[in-house]
Amino acid sequence: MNTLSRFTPFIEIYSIDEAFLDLTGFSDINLTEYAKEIKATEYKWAGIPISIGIGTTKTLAKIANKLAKKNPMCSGVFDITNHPKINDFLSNVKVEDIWGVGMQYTKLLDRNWIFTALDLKKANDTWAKKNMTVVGLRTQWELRGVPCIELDDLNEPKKQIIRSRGFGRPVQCLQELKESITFHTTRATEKLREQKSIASHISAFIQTNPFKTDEPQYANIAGCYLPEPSAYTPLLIKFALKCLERIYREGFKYIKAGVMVMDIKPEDQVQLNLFEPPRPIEEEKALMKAVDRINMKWGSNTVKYASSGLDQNWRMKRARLSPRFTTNWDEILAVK
Amino acid sequence: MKFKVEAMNLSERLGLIQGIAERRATMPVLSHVLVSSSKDKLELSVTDLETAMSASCGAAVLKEGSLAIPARKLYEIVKELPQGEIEFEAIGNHWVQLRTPSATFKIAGLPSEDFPAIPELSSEHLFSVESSVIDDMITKTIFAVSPDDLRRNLAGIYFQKTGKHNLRLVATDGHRLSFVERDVKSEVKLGRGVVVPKKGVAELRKIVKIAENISIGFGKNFFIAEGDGTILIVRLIDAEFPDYNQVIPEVTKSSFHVKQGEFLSALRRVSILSSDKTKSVKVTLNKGEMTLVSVSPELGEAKEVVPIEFTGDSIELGFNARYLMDVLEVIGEETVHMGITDELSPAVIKPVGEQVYISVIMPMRV
Repeated sequence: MNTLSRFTPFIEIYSIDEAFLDLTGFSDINLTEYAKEIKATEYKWAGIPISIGIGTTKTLAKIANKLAKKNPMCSGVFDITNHPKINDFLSNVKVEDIWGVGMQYTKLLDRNWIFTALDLKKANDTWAKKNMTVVGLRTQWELRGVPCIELDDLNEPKKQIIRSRGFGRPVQCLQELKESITFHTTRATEKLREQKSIASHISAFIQTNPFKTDEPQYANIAGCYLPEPSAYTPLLIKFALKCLERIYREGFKYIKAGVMVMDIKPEDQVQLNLFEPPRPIEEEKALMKAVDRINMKWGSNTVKYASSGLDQNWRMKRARLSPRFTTNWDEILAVK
Repeated sequence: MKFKVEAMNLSERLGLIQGIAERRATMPVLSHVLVSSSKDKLELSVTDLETAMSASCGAAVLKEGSLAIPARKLYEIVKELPQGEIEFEAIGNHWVQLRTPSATFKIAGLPSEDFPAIPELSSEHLFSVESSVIDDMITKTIFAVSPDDLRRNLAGIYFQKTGKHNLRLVATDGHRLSFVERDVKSEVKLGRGVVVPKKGVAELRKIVKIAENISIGFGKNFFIAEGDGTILIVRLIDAEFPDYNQVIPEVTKSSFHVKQGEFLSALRRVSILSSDKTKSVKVTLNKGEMTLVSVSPELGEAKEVVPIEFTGDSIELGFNARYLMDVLEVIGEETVHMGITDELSPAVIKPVGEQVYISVIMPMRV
């Protein structure tokens, strides 16, 4: 992604291996050649082969990308912009392969004799809005080349933060669940502080393995409002653990626990509470800053909360985790 | 069961009470209305186990009896029927048939024995209140009730007797508090303070709208209201209301008077460009003027100056504009008094007049 960001400042990292690049203003140059340069640079610097689709909208770029992958003649790059055969290409793209069309919409479109991207492009706007909401209408307009979905601003703060992991083994006792909830709350509050936010609401959830149908099943979630919006880890841990105690039931083998932090607001807009004295916010901030800096410099969990446990043997086994050849001395690649 | 009733009468009564019946009830019978005919009247009852409401209307009873009928379906049918008489008849197996000269409906009901027993009303606990008084008191407090069901003690309005004929209502969500006190006609029959849940208070307002005077009272665990043949019974919240007196400042460092209309409309305009989530506005007080500023990185910024009578030291505070607007919308006086101490202490808003109404709002750290 670092390599890609050298080619345009406007980039949306969509997933671990996918990104949208905004090339608005690059109209003077040959975009296909530019994309080939990006592809070659990425391969040279990161050793990763990539394919690039170019379109006037994100939806068309995704379709172009698919075509670039499929057709060896394209050499991994395809520009669908103003292509004379664009409708021919769209008529070969099934609706389920359109970005933003999921299983339910595919069923709906099939029932209405809309089978390809071209069919959807030509469908009635009113019908699309009525049956697929404005989200479906946006996809339809994007197929017509009208940009409706902007690049996601990476700096936009998250509206909710969910942290959860499966256990390495089934967990039954409350103490271990508490350790896990503390651990996830710590991570969630780190994220909160990273984006300069505070939260008013925290929930804790636990679940058993739904695939082990022979075992008793239980899943539940409980949440609560904090007395004052905060990103102070000890405070959120206290309330997350209270939530856990409300939903915990003995006799079940839990395989997953997590926390959800919601009602997130900017840290510089805190509504004070009538019945609680104002929190020593400056001291709390200073403490959290110190903890974050230590953990940033010396590694995650260098300073941790005692209630997250010392052994944490409930954590994921991660037996197949790739070795950290370049960032960990103990895992450095040895040459015989 | 067999009776004849005027469609309009029945529609009005059903409209009043059917909101309590749950659409997706845990127990099927809770989405039903219990229809009981006896002597020359018809009694309709609904409950969600926390709130129960009964209404009666005149009917020509041909055969006494009772049956639970799906509340919403019955209301929808009766509402659509033309004026005139409807004949109800139980036709066996818990089915009921509705007949008008031109239409017939057959509805599957449930046995009346399945319907939960509604607590008996004891009139000795009741005292009379003018509907307009209680309606005004509820209007001035209900917006401050906490939306968080988990904070049970704040999820309703606190009723308290403060004198032989004085009733006080208080509500708070932890960030703001509204407090109103009024003289009532008869002696207030209330021992300890009680918290009436928001849903129950909202139902009470429906009775208040149709009856000039109502009687209210408190049983051991229930709030009771009666007016115009309608009875409301609400289970009280079994939790301690916080000691609200400690958060109402007796004195504030500085204060000012402002025209309610000017303050409210300026807030409405400025808050359009405040963050949707926090609705924060900066309030700066200077000699003779109050400046309201909202800033939102995504939307823009707004600034408006409101003339005030203020002579204290300049101060800048943050407030949730919604909280200020909620108070100003119901305060009912042309001039408002606002008292402040500092950026972290509660502000007090009250009308410049005789009525006892106080609103306390905590500032925001901005």
